Amino acid sequence: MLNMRIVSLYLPDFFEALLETLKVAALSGIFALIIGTVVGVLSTFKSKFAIIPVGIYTGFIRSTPLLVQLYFVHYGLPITGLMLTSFQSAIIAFSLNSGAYISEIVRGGLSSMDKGQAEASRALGLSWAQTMRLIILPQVFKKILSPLISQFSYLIKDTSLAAVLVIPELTYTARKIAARTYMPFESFGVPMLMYFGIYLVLALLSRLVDRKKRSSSDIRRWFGFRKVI
Amino acid sequence: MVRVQEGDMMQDIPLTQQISRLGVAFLSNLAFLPFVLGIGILLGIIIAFIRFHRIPVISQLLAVMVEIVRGSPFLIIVYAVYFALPYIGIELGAFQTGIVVLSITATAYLSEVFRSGLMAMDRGQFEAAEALGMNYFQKSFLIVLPQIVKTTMPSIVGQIVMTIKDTSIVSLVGMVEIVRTSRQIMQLTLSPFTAFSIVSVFFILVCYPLIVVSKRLEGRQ
Amino acid sequence: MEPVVRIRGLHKSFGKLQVLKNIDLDVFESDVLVLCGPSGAGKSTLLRCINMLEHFHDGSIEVLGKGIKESHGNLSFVRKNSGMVFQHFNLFPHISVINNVALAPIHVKKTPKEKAFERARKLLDQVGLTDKYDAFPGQLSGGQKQRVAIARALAMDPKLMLFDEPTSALDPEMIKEVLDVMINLARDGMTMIIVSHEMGFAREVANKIGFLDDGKIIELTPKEEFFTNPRNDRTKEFLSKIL
Repeated sequence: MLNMRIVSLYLPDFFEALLETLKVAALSGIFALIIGTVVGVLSTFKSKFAIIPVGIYTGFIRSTPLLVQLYFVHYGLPITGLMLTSFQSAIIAFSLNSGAYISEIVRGGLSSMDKGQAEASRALGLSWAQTMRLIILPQVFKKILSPLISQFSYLIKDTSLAAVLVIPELTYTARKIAARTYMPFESFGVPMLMYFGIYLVLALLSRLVDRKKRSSSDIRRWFGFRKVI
Repeated sequence: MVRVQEGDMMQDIPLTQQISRLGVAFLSNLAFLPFVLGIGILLGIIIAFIRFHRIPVISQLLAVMVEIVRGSPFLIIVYAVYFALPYIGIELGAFQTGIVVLSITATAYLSEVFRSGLMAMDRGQFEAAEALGMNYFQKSFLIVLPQIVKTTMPSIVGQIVMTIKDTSIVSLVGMVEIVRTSRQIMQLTLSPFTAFSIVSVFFILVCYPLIVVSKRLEGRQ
Repeated sequence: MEPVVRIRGLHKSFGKLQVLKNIDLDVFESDVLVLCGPSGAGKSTLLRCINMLEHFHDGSIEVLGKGIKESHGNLSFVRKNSGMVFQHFNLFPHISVINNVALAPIHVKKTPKEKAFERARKLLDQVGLTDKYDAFPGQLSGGQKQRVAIARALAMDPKLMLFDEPTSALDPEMIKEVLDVMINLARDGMTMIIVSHEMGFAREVANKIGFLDDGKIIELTPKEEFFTNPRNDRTKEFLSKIL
């Protein structure tokens, strides 16, 4: 069905592009996790100075297209004097975007946390920071692992927009090779299968996490929390 | 995709004119919605029911198709449709590509929403309807469907928001809508913040209320 | 002698509902005070004010000579020197039993790890859980969990122990093992304030009983007097219903 000669000829290019996609996603994902955790924790404060900026940030990100956010960063930041490469613009935009969604996930995890945990921790004399670090956040992350995996799946798909900034990831490369070979089915088919492959792996991982969470009361196997102390 | 360069002539476009031009362009984005969402909901429900009842062959086929669409980035589907279809004789313009891809995407995601809604339904409902002597269609339309729509409303609204935002991506195959227009404006006025801020406001005006509605619906459950 | 806990004029409301009304209370060293009364009387709230898990509006609470409302430093001091045991245990599920017990000494008191773990093992032995050091809370029964919770609180070497309905969430056959631990604690001279419905336990171990109703301390008397010759009518009514 697909012309396998063309496919095998360009397979190395596609794999290189796949690597680029994963690089963008991984980097953005790490920053997004940090941003999301900080913002998520902030959103649980009672102060207006926390709630309002968080609300504006997440509201803006969720109400506007990623493409517009990407343009904002790429075209807008240089005006303020900050010169960025396309790659950096992409990472910034994706991190801010995913970070907002992750913050919502973290917030949900925090608000569904048993209040007694924090109470016991504070009663023992642990500070707020220690309580968060040692008791609350470890449990929250275990709880939200599955939604986080889903969010990463969305991030992978979002990286396709990096093509707009001429970053040699999978979607850009697909177009490039389609133009060169005049064989769009192969040129787009292989990348789509690659995206789909990642999507499947992540979906299975998410399901595995869910199943383990439900059956296992032996939490030790999960993160080796002997190291908490 | 070219950054503004030296020697470009700067044109001063007054703010009101920017707003009106972008507002008109935004109508092109919104124009997609009635058809895309209508098809998405209709076909989404049908696909959900087919898969729920595990009708042989068709269910599996639909499952594969839905998953491939859900697993692929929107942009690459757009490129694939736009660049590949001419090779089998179908020449699509940007707007038509948009309609096709947005419809396919919305259908795929909505079918999952409805399917999970079906699976989450209380079996007792089916049984009560049957005990009352209803046939399949009466059961589905009078009992099942209304309840599914109510429980999945937050997700449906969420998908509407996604579709609205995805219309911006159609700009990348040449369609003249708000994002493309704003880039043209930006290239003339050399002030990206103004142009993109106006674009953001338009999207926020439409999407943010929907998001609030979705959250409120979720809270009520 | 200075009281371990001194409460004067304590008022607490949840919104419009006044839950504690003008509470005065002194608890002295080695006292074992059991607070009882109908549900909603404010017993747990009163207890939780002592280590500021609940904030109060009017009045003063001094623990070990420090007014807890006055400064954050005082509150930290109080929390380090008092221990609380909760109705629903509140063990940390993501770490093992011994880590639960050693965590606070290591991070709050900066006890060296070896010492902390040694102390933890000793305390777990004391509450009868020698073979459960490396178990996880999810693997324990209710009675076992509560005993770990007591060990965890004791690890901080508190001068005061607060118990908020410690056996209310336990199946009947497990209540005894927890009460036995608490009896031993009392016999060793620990100052204890216990909110509980277990009047039999109160009779055995308490030296003072406090009866609360509708946010006020109706009666606060030595144990014998409370059971044999209660002064207040409401107290008599309450006793007749449960005994």
